[in-house]
Amino acid sequence: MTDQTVYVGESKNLAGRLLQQLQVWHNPIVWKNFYARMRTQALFSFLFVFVISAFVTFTTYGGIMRIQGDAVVAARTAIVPLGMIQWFIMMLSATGRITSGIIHERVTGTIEYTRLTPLSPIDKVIGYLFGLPVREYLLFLLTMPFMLFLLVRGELPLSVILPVYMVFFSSAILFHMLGMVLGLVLKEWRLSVVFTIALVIIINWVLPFFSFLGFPILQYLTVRPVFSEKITPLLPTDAVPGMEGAPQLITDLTSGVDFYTWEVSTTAFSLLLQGLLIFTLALMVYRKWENDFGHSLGKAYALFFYVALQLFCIGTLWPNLIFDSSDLMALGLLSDDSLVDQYAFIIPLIYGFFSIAIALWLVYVTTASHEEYRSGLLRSQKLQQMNQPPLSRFDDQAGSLLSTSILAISTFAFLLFVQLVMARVGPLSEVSPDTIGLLRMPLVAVLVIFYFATSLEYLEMRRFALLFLMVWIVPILLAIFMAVVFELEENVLYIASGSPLTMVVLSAQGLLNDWMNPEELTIVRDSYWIGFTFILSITAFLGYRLKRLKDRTRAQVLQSAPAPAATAN
Amino acid sequence: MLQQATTSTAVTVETRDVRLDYGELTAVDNVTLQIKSGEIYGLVGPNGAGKSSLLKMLANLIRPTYGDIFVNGIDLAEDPWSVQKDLGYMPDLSPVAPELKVWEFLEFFAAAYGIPRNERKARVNECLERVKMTEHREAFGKGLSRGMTQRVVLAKTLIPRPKILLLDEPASGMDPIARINLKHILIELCSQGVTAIVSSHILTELGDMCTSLGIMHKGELVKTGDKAALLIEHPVLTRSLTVLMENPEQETANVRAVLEASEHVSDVANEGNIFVLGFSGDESAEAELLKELVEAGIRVTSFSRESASMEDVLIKLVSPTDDQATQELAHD
Repeated sequence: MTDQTVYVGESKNLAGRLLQQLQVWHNPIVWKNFYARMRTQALFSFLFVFVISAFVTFTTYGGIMRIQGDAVVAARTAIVPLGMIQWFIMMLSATGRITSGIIHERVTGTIEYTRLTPLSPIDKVIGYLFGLPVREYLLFLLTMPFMLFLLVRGELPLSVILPVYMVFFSSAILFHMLGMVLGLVLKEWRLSVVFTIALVIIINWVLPFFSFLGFPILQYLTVRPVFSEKITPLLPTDAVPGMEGAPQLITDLTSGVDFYTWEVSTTAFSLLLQGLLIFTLALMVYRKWENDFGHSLGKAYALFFYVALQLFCIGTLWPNLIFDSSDLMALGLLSDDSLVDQYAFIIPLIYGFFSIAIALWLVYVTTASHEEYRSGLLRSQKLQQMNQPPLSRFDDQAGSLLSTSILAISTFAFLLFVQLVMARVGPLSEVSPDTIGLLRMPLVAVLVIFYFATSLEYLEMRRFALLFLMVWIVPILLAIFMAVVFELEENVLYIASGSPLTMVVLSAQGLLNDWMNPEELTIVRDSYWIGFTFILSITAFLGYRLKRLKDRTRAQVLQSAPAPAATAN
Repeated sequence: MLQQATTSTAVTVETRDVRLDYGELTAVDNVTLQIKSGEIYGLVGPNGAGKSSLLKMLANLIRPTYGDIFVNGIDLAEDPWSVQKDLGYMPDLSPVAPELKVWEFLEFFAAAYGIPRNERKARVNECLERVKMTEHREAFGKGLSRGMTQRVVLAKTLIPRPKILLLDEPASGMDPIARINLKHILIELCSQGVTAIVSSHILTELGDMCTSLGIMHKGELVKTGDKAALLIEHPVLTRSLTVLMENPEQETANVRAVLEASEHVSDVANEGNIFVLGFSGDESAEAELLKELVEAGIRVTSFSRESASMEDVLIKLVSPTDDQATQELAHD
């Protein structure tokens, strides 16, 4: 009864092991899900998808053929609705399935069995990634004969089809990984599935429109740019709903990605950016599989990720940082240079919000709760008793002052760099902001990051959520209320400036010396300093309380040195 | 590895100063224990004593706040994956996948543990036979009763033929026959060298099959050791006396008078003709008391030691009114 079995995934070398792990058809988790999801009831979904795909393909194709008599045009037109069905299956249905499947296993407790098996975390990540949506993959395959028919009839070359499907799958895996992370973090399954699907819709259909505002990076999380580059030019102009008469993006999608001063293939750029995010999400899942109670990202990786994402972001932003009004007029976006100020204002604003949001998310993911900090102190003390080095300052359970400071300084540097470039050679050169003007947003970013980190660490999640509502949201609502009811206008900014969200807007507005009249500008700048002082005071107060709490905890831990064992054999 | 594990090859599981905090609550507090190969180690204690948390740490489902755990001499923190194959963990209120048939559920684990494809079916059937669930192999997880679910999870736990079994309240929900079967399975496995750590808050579940016991209370391991040694160290203090009565009122008074006159007897209580009493003497004192009862004309039909003897030990060690004694034991 004690013979040892050998796990099939145990190859001698790393490459061999990785190759085995990628053979998803050997993965037990995939097979488990295959058994669970491919019962007779699944026949209905297969029949449904088959009927709908056939209907959409042949009705569109046949209809266009009847009207225009051109098989190529008819086939290419039918690609869009069939592609939407494929998108729906792989992006929405499969992602929702992954989130609900993971939460279901967590709620029933069966996930613990899988956690205990000798399957490596990579096997588990791959198993759930391809196992939970196994039915969706097969449904997708079911639509492929129709798509192949259209691609062949539409005479689309492989050089067009392959990049689109490569990015389609890369994007699908990105959303699936996102669904898996949310499934491992969230608790209530119905709400989580709705949230995941809403997130996928927002990323695909809302965030790309930030391109119109000069912030193009977010569209590369989807298949849209590659589709626009490769397939849209081959489609009849009325084949893509809503595309007729749509404004051109500042980043021209038909000629690759402008990345700093280079032009990079859209396919390669999308794969690279999505690859970074997939790797990060996979790392989060991997860490969760290793230790469910641990943080989903380590502090050191979080800092690396932030810098890498910023480099991607600034690279795509670059052409918009250095354009001048004549570029915009040449693109036909401006009839005269009267709107340059608004472009100068909007890019730092969106970039500032984006940078601060990512930094806050990383602070949230990596900050140890007070209990974790206490456990870390105990562990560190124990290690020292055993003549081992104490915990690293980048350990999950270590205080987050160092990592938060690095994050805040990086954000300060990136924001200042972007604004300096804009002020030297870009649109801000025409509004000539002063030095204080350029420092306002970087300073706000640093303050907001410390404010967030301190309140999160001191107040813990529940009280923090209450503070978030009261201090981040309520001042804005109160200002709107007073503006509406008492007909106050600019003066309500003094109230709204209590919210860090308003502070970001105020700091961007403060860049524009010439845009506002002097009276408005004074109110904006005064509000900025009032808000800054207010938030700085709260941060200082919370920081002081946090330090005292930590000192107290440290003293308690020192007093409660691990006692000798109770009773041993 | 921070330290070398105890060199004795007989020790299969060892913990050193293991502590687990859930926020402010210390669930497991500096637990140090050694369990030898082939033992059935009973982990007992009231609800919330920290048994499940300790088992989860041994199963590597939770990492301790600090402390070391060695399984077969390997530090769990250093190399969890090589240990994982040797462990079979059955959680409390263990679930089965509701959408899978019993054999599919088990076959998944057979595959996950790397059992070759051509051996899986036989292994699944063998484990199902062991837990007497062969006839339910085609049933769906969602259709199983609580007891059947426990048996299927036990079968799942046995699939990889683990060297160490960690069973958290394994008998809960099982009918008496299944419980007896569980005991037989454990005794048979341990005779083959498997080590089992079984937790329960009901001592009678473990009393007659464990070779050693650990008693947990408020996160601490207040006592651990060989079962027989524990019984000797904490002798049975309760006796049960049954007498024949024609005039209950008069005869109850007579019995009480004799019992209360004895220096070895305390805390006499009765319900009808059955008396329960605290007794601190040895066997000759027992004989002397019986002689006195008979000489007083009392017709004794039985005089016995209470059968739930391990419960007495547990109650004595973890009774809330006995905190001082618990403290003393902790510093033995």
